[in-house]
Amino acid sequence: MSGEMQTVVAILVMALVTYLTRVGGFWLMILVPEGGFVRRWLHHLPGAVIIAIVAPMALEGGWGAPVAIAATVTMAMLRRSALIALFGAVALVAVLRQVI
Amino acid sequence: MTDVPADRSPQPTSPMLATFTRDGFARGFRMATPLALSGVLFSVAFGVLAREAGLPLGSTILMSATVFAGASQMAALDLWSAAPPILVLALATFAINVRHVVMGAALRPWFSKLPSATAHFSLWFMTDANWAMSMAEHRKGERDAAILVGSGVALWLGWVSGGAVGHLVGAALGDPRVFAADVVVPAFFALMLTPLWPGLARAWPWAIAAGVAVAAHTVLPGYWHVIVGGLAGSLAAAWAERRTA
Repeated sequence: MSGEMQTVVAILVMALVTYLTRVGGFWLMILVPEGGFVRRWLHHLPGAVIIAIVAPMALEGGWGAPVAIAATVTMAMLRRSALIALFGAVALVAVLRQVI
Repeated sequence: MTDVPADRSPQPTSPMLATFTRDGFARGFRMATPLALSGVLFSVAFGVLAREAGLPLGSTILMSATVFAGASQMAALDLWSAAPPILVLALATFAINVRHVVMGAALRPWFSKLPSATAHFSLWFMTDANWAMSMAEHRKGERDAAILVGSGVALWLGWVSGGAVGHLVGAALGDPRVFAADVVVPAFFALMLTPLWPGLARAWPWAIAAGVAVAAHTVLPGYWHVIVGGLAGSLAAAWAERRTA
């Protein structure tokens, strides 16, 4: 296989593997009976997964991420639009980094 | 995008209803646009690194367009060579992207109401950010599954074009920390958490998920901490409800 060919094949294999992870959970759930426990589990899954993504991020790389998270959540609770909450928090961190 | 009524039963208020419309696509696209724009800095960084790793422009675009999963693509660059090791790349890609399995499972009750081809097409665009966004909107009453595709397409456009720009421009871009671009992603995910907040009395599974994820992050490679933490918190919550039910 030429190098160029192998590059394209490698990329397409990566794409296939990634697509299989995207549909894999959807397929696996066919095997799981949609009973009460599974329904409750799926109901709690999004919050738990997102917090599992966020928590290590919040503890890495200094105070920027925790400040941005606190500011975003505060503004979201004050019923600002999601867009204002997000950009407000990011702007706050950008300004604080200039000042501090 | 054609309108595909997935559920023909006359129950417009049914919690199990799923639709797939142009409107939903546009809503998702609009909501993800700010994140797609800020994410461009990350995609530009990928383009710069891809060029340094020896990936030609065409291959860089092909990878971003077909794989569309940033962390696994960054990891692949570390393994890249003139003759890339296909099996090693496949395994590394799987290890990083296997978190999608858990996300896809959570979409099942909603997306199984769509025609199978529509569901499989939509899942191609599923990535962390638009999955979180779609789940948050679903909790608020959204039933239009095209929101995942619309937001996915917005992120995809930013990801592919940013990668191409980074490859062309190279490293002459300065430090993204000056614009606080590095905090956009954690802030975005925190924002997606707010509609999912279960109340203080029921928040302890979140503490479990967070604690387990942080602990797992220090010992496990890739994104396994997302799976381990997510499963720990959600299973604990479901188990506790079974005991009280």
